[in-house]
Amino acid sequence: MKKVTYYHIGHGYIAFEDFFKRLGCEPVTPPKITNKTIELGVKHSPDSACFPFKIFVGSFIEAAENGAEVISIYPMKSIYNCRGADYIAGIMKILKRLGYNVEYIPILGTDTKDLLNNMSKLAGRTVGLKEGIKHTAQHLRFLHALDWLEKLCTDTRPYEVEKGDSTKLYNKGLEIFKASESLKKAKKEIKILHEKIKVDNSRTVVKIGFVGDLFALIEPFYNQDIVEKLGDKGVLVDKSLYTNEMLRRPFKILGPFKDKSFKLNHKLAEPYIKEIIGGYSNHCVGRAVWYAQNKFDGVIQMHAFGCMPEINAKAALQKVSRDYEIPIMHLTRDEHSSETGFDTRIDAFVDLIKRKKN
Amino acid sequence: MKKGIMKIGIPRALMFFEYGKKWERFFKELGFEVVVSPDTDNEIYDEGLKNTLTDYCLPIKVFIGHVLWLKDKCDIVFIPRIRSSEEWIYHCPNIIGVPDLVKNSIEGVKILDVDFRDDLESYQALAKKLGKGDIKKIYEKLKNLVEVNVDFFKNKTVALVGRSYYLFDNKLNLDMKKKLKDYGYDVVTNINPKNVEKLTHWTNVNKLIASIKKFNSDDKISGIIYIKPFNCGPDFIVEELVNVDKPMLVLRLDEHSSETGLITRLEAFTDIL
Repeated sequence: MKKVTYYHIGHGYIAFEDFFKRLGCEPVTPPKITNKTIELGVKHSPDSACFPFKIFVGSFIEAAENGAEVISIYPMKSIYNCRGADYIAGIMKILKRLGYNVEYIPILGTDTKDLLNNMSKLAGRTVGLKEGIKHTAQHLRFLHALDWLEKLCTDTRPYEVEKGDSTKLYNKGLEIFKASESLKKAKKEIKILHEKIKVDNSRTVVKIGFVGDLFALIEPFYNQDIVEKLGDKGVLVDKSLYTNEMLRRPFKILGPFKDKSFKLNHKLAEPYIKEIIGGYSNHCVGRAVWYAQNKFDGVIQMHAFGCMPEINAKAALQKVSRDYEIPIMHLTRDEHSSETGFDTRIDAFVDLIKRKKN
Repeated sequence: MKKGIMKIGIPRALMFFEYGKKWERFFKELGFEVVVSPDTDNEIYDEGLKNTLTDYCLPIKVFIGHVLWLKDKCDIVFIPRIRSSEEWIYHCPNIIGVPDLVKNSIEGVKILDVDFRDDLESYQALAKKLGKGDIKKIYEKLKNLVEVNVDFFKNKTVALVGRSYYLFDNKLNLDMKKKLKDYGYDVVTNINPKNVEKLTHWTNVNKLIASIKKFNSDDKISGIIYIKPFNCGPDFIVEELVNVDKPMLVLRLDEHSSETGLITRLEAFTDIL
């Protein structure tokens, strides 16, 4: 039985745990990302590496300490034209230098053959086409269900009467998903709990779109719980990317599951960025245009320091902001950014938007 | 400006240092007038810094300076979209996105924009955009224009590696070649190494690693200086992937690098050699 570790990003780890258990591996979830993780990562990675890379290095060192033998992440080469493509080469080099004996086997693959090959390697037996597709579909469904829960809580948060109810529901929901046998049953259970939350629908809320690099959007430690903080201030936040995006876009095999909004976003971004540059820049710009057209009150962009695709998106977003007269705030995150600094800026931004609206 | 003949501007920055001679010749053969911006001077440099987001790396900022210089001096500025040279190997997003950046941040510039791969097809597409026909003969002529500049080997030799737009723009590299010559060293640079391995996702980084490896195994070279642009995304992995036994100096340059700082470091480095 192989001991496998993977990203601890957002709530995705629950779906990974499930996936590897089904394949017959022993999942080793890295500890939750903390300041200690970051410290480890910063110590051992090149200083010009981007922030997510440092998080992963720290995270995988902690996992290797806990006995992980295999690192399994999505083959990022197929996804991004950004530094993400070289992550695994760098991470393996660093772990080897530190004396950890780990190997890399991608989750899924770039095509069907690759996918089955990787799954067989992970499981230690031959995995057939039927089983492979079944596992992949289940994995995707699981991620979707988790994202559904997150969206449900995010949408309720600005309206709740008792502060903190939605966050409680979110945490409870994750526990339910972990324990439950079937996704349908779990969803039903959560829906019943959701109806019990007292809401005040007469409130007027401001709507803010949240764009940026993938990891900033899905990992609460990375974005310093910005979604929750904004929700508590009475802001309805719309995230442009959810965890399932990590897997949906790159794989040809998932054709029927592809999100239509992606095409739309690229079309909307065309006047600003004509072709795909890399990372999620086109998606980010397109989504911002969509927010502007759909009467959102503001947009927040968050990205890692030095993230090339997002810098390009930033230049385009400034033009979007001028063209549509929508306020856009840019936040840059690295290991030195302070939480209080962010809070102050978010507060000011929300105040400004509220004043503009009234 | 003569009526009828279009003036095409080419910024002397970024990938110009690899394909520039070809572009210039190509447009001239087609019968256009060509304006190439001058070597980077203080004015271009400052204009570039003023008009670009701070997050960009220095070469992109300087590129914008060159475009601003060309703005009123030509009819159209040639800014190709240089995406990739092989499958799964790409240029960095900043280089790919340059036409969009210019469009978004400078108003009133006409851009001649084409997907450029340095092959017959892309030159044909370019000719088509300009309303010209068959260009096969011109393309044959271009083939011989290769830009390798190797200055050879009299005294001790130092290898200077980095991006072409740093090595050949003396404003950006703070005139490093001349300084090294003053110390009595010959300088070798290499922008088109052979046997490039596909180690990373990036064209430039693969070339760079190949050059470093080649210089490392070359007995005539006594030391390697690697110019690393500050905030350069793809370069973060280079030091992890190469093992060098020769003395190697890694210099991070950006708009705040001072000439005195550089001199101190070069002196220290040459003392080691």
